[in-house]
This record gives sequence, structure tokens and C-alpha cells, in this order.
Amino acid sequence: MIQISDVTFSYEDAPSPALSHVSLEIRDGEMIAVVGHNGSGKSTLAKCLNGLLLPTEGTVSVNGMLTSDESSLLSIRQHVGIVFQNPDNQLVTTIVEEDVAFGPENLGIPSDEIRKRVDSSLAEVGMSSYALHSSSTLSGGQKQRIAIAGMLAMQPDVLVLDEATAMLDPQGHREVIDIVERLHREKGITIVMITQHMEETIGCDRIVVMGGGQIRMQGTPREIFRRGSELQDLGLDVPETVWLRNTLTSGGMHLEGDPLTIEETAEAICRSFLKK
Amino acid sequence: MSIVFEKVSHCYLAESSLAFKALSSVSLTIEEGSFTGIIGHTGSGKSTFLQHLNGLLLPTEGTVTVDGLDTRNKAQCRQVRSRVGIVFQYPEYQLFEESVIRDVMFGPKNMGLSEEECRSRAVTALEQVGLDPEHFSELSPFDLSGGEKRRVALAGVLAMKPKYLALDEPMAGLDPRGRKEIMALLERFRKDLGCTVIMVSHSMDDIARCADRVIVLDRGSAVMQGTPREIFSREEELKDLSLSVPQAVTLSHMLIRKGLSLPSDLITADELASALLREVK
Repeated sequence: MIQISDVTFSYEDAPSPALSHVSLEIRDGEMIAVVGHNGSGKSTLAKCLNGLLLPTEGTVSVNGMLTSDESSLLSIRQHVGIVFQNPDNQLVTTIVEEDVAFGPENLGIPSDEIRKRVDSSLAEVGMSSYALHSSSTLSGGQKQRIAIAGMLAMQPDVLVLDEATAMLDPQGHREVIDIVERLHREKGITIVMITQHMEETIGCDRIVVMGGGQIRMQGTPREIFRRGSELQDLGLDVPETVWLRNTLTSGGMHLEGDPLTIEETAEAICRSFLKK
Repeated sequence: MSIVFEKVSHCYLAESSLAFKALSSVSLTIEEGSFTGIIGHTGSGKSTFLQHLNGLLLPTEGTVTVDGLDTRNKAQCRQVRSRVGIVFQYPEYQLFEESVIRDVMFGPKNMGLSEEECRSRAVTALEQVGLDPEHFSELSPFDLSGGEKRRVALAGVLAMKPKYLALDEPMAGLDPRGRKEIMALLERFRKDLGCTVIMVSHSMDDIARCADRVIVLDRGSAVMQGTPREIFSREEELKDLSLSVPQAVTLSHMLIRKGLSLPSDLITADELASALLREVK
């Protein structure tokens, strides 16, 4: 569990804090989306989760360990892995499998165990056949999958994706999201997804909406998307399916069941026509 | 007038064992006044294509002409550069001057215009991208938000008064409001300034909303060309190229399969909503 308590963070020389009095609990096994406009503080929050940034005020604790306690940092970073936006500046070695081994090597794990972890992590992200490839020849989506494998090799409980799909093409985007959803479903890994794509938040348990360094709303996707005008005031928007539903409803159509995904929306529209 | 690609191929490191053909025999025309969307997955040749538009890269075979000017001719290429402005991905990383106004003036200065002319163009360009020159001119570009920086970068290209504006993923990394603002800007450039817009994007929804022509690149070839309606009706072929269609297309095809009578060529959520509401009445 990650407990963020009354955290304020100011960058040096910045006129106002990037985070101001943020409190949030991330429960084990949860899949949560953090959304917010550019400069709302979401990436700063992500970097506070494993002690890459230390709060100016307040505390962040991971499974009871404080990020401000330097002796806990290595252990915290093993629990909480972050994948960043740019696929080109996260890989550190030239060969795919060496990159995946980099984390566990730094943790001092015995080499036969590292071998096992590298193999299983690469299998987990569907990149086993690329183990000996040069990482520079991979596509953006593949590089992000290797970055995720590198995290998995440290056996984290929490995976933070800081706009990890923003620079990918639709296929790379799909690949990464599918893997993340599977890791959450099958291995119970806690997922914190920081994103601008409202479509990505539909499948999450909870959405946290940031604005101006503060948490402005939180709730299930259904709860949040009912507050479309507030989202727009915060520079955000509802997913297109929700926009469509709202437009149809206000045009006099009756749609049952609060549909969110494309499939649910298609279902609800058909039911509404059948009743006629 | 128009930009014409005639059997354009581009081979990187042509003379070496690492030779890689990034474009192969591409022929197409970008008409003046159009809004052309370029789609293709990573590695399909989009960036190489874009850099041919103003002679940053020259064809290793074939010709690129802009309003009849050949990019391989040095003197003509200079003119091409001032007609075709390119905004690369994440252009905000390329800001470097100490003030916003100086950054925007950099392009016109390189064109050899007077200080006065450069300044007046920069002020106009800042207004065009919705940044109040009074407020922003003397600020450091590094103190601005991501969306503001991107607009400064865009102003820097507009200050050169290009006839053709080419952009690589101009909305990537911006929040929904920022995306809408950039989109509205592009529409305005086209309507008010008569700019021709060429936009590379991964977002099929954005392409469906604003483009009137679409070019699909795959492994260096232009494999499809047409209106968004024509292109997005070929869902299966696009899937084979690892591309997708706008959400509204997926949804309306789903509804048609379930037996609803809808036109099969709806491509935006707006169109789908109107069509459904017409059915209800």
C-alpha cells in the first residue's frame, strides 16, 4: 500500500508548488488512473511514489517505509517501478536481455536467479525472441515493453506508468495497455496509470483527477464521467463513448445501463432501438 | 499550385552495407488549400516523407517539387524553405532563445528580413497562436507551460509565413484542452490564412475530424490515398497495416452488424450521433 499524506512539492525557483497538500491512498491490487491537464502535477506525484522526488512537506510511505528514509530507498524502488513517457531514454544497455537484467543485478541477486527472472519477464511482455537483439532497433512499443520487463525482473508490487503510451503508435499503445491489464488481472500487480487519454481510464477501478497541484475529484470512472462539465473546466474531457451517450440522451434517446466501453455502448443503443 | 512527389525514393546510407530504403517510389500530389492527414505505423516512413517536403532530405531517386520548384536545385530549394514550414514532434524542446519574441523572430531573421519586419511578423504570429504578445514577448520560453511552449514553437514557423504547414504529431503529449486548441488553430490557419496543412498523426479520430485527404504509408510506400471516408471504410486493410479506424467507425460498424440501418460511411462521433437521432425520430 502507498500512503501519500499531505504532500507538498516545490521545484527550485518555481513561483508556486507543483503539488500542494495532496493526500491519497493507493491500495494493494488496485488499478488507478491519474489524469490532469499539462502542469497539473501528475508526473511530479508519480516521481514521489518511489522517492525519485522527496516531498517538500508531508510524507509518502510504501508498505510502511518512508521515502524520506534513505536506507529504505532501494527496497522502495524494488517495490515500485516506474515506466516513463519516452521509449528512447529508458533503456541503458545495448542488448535487450542485459537491459532487463540491469535492475536485479543492481539489487545483488545471484546470477542463476537473474537468468530465470529475465527469461520469465521477457516472456511476460511477449519479447522472448528478442532477448539477444540490439535495443536500438526496436519499435517504441517494444522498447516500452522491455522497460516494463526490466521492472518486472525486480518483482515489484506496484507499476507506475507515467504517460508511457503517449509517444506510441496505435499498435504500440495497444500492446502496452494489454500487457499492463494482464499483469494487473493475473498477477495482482497494483497499477498507477498517469495519462491524458481518457479512453485509457475506462477500465480502471478508480480515477484521480488533478488540477493545479491538487486532487480535484476522485471516484469510479462512471462517477467521474458524470461530471463532464467539471472535467472540461479542468482542461480534460470525457471519453468519446460518454460524449456520444450524453448527446443521444439529450436528443431524446433512452440508453440503459450507463455504458462506457464501445461494446457496452453498441449494446445499449441496440436495446433502445429494439424497444421502439 | 501544389507539392508533387514523383516516384520519390530515399535510401539512407545508400553506399554502405547498412543501406535502408525508407521511401520507395512514392508518387502523390498535395493540393494547395487541402488538409492532408498522413498515417502509418512507426517505421512506415512518415518522418522521412515529411523531411522531403522542404528539402531537408533530398530524394535519392525521383523528384519533389513545390509550386514547380525542384528541391534538388539549390537556388530553388531556398525558396521552397520559405514556402514550407515544418513543425517537428515535441517542437518545444527546440526553443532556445532568452525571450519568446526572439525565439519567434529567429526564422524570419534567417530569411534575411529587417529587424523591424521580423518583430512585426513575430507579434502577428504570437497573436495567431493565441498568445498575447504584450504579456508573453519578454518572458523566457522556459518558464511557460507545455501547451504554451508548443504554441511558441508553432509561432516561430508561422512567422516565416509558410504557404504549406507540415506538422508531425502536433497534439502528442497535450491534455484534451491543449489538443482542442491546436486543432482549432490549424483549422483557422487554413480558413483565414489559406495555409495548406499536412499533419502526421496517430489519432484516427483527429484525422477523421479535420482532414479532407488521407495518405497511408507502409514500409516506405504510399499504399492508400483518398478522402477520410474512403480510407476509413477499408477497416480490414488498415488492420492488416497495424492501423486502426476512428472509434465512431468501429461503433457504427458494430451497430450495422447488429442490424441497425445506418449509413456505412460515418467517421466522426458527431455524424454517428446525428444519424442515430434521425433514426429515432
